[in-house]
Amino acid sequence: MEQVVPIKAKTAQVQTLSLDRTTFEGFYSTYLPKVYNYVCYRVGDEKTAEDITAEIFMRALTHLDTYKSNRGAFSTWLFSIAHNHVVNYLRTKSRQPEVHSLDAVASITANNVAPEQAAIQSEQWRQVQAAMRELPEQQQEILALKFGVGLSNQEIAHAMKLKPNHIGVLLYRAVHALRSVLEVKEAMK
Amino acid sequence: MNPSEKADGERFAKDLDLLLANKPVAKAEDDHYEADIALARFLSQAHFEPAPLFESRLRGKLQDHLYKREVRTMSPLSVLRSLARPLLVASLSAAILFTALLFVSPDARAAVQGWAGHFVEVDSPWALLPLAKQPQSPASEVVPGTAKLAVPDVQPAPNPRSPAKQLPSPGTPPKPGSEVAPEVAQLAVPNVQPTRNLISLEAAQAKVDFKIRVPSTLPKGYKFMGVVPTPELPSSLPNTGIQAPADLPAQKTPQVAMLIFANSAGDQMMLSEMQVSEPASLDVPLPAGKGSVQNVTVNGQAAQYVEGIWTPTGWDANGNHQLHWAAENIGFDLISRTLKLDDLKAVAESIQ
Repeated sequence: MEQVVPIKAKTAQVQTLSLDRTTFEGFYSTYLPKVYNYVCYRVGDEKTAEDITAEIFMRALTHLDTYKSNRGAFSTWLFSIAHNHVVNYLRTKSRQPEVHSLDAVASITANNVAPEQAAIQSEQWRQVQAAMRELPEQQQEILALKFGVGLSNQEIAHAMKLKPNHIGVLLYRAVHALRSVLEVKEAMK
Repeated sequence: MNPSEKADGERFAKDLDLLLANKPVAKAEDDHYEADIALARFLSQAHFEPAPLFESRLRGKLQDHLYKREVRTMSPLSVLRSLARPLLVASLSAAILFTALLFVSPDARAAVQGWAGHFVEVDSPWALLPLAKQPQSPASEVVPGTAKLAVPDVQPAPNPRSPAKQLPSPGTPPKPGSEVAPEVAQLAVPNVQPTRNLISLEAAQAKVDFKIRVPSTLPKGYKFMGVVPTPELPSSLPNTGIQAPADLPAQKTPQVAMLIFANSAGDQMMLSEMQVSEPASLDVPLPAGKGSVQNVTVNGQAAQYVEGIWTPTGWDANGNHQLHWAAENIGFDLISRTLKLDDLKAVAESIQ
């Protein structure tokens, strides 16, 4: 992931980040869609995703000076904050996230998709979201980081504190498990 | 993780990378695997757009946060806060070093005490510590057995109410044995600074109408310490607002000078000189217990020597030793707890 936040050299090995109002826009426009997408993947509710995204950005800005480049990429640091907020939210609420409303489903976009096709995709997405809630926490997380954020396997491994060569298999298991849940739900109709 | 699953996983990861890069993925023979790739393609196309209103509100909120942080960083209070810790550390270090210097160096103590004395009367624990030794004047060198003291050439304070009395000339040559020239006007105060309760000979001389006499010979080890200040008589009763009547004759300050001498062991000797208007009053004998008074002479003049002192419980024969004599309207008393007649008489006879 590209480095959009200016790096302020502190020592030869360790770098910290500086952010002011002039460099903020690059940071915001780069990371807001990714963080928001990740949170939507995890909580499944647009309104809740907005609240959590705002909390994540505020915390990142407040604690920006705690980021050290020798501990990993900035995106990893940012999504570890996002992960903690999402997990805290799910743990506090102790409930399954709600599926998307129709308005929220309508915001799932694909470029130049016909209205009928978009409606079908929205319905499919609603089913996928519901099936995703049936998966274990680790599989939900890895699917969100891969498809919601677009992190590389290396970045996912760092964020989830896993071995990089395990990520491919874990992704395969997660997608396979998701398809199995969808098939079961389809069979039950 | 079995080998086939590992192989499927690696294959899936590669195909997924192609999928996310919008590159064609080879069709698999396994339907299940193909279904998984299709699901992955669907997931990769799903994308949530944050609502424009949410995006703009969050942007404003974060920019406001950044602005406040910048203002906080640049504010004088923030700068002071950042400087407070180093300043505190530096101040404490300086205070500790200064205190250590005062303990270690008598010169530093003397300098500080002298400086502080310009503003207030120094009354601090430092006064209990020895000060730096003053360079010894040759005039104050003590000859073993018979210490010599320089005779100051200090004129009595002019008093318009009483004409100057006939006192010995300041230029009077010292007694034989005194090694100090008469023009040495300054009374050499060797080694020990006067305590804060004593004043210098010059200051005492300015308060009395008669010339204060000083001995030229002191017992071995004794040095001049200073003069006990004579209190001023108030013209009104303190704290009452009552003023003395205008027609009441002015009350004279007591014409007394009490010179203190001491040795390094702390033994003191006091020479009291009191001027009286009626010479007959000098003939009043000292109050003393029975059999404690000896009639002696000082330079051929009649004198009294008393061993003992009156206490609240009666006469204490082991008290002070006092030699009393008079000359030229001045009553002299030489008092000590340790020195006896011979020593006191030697001192008395050296007084000019």
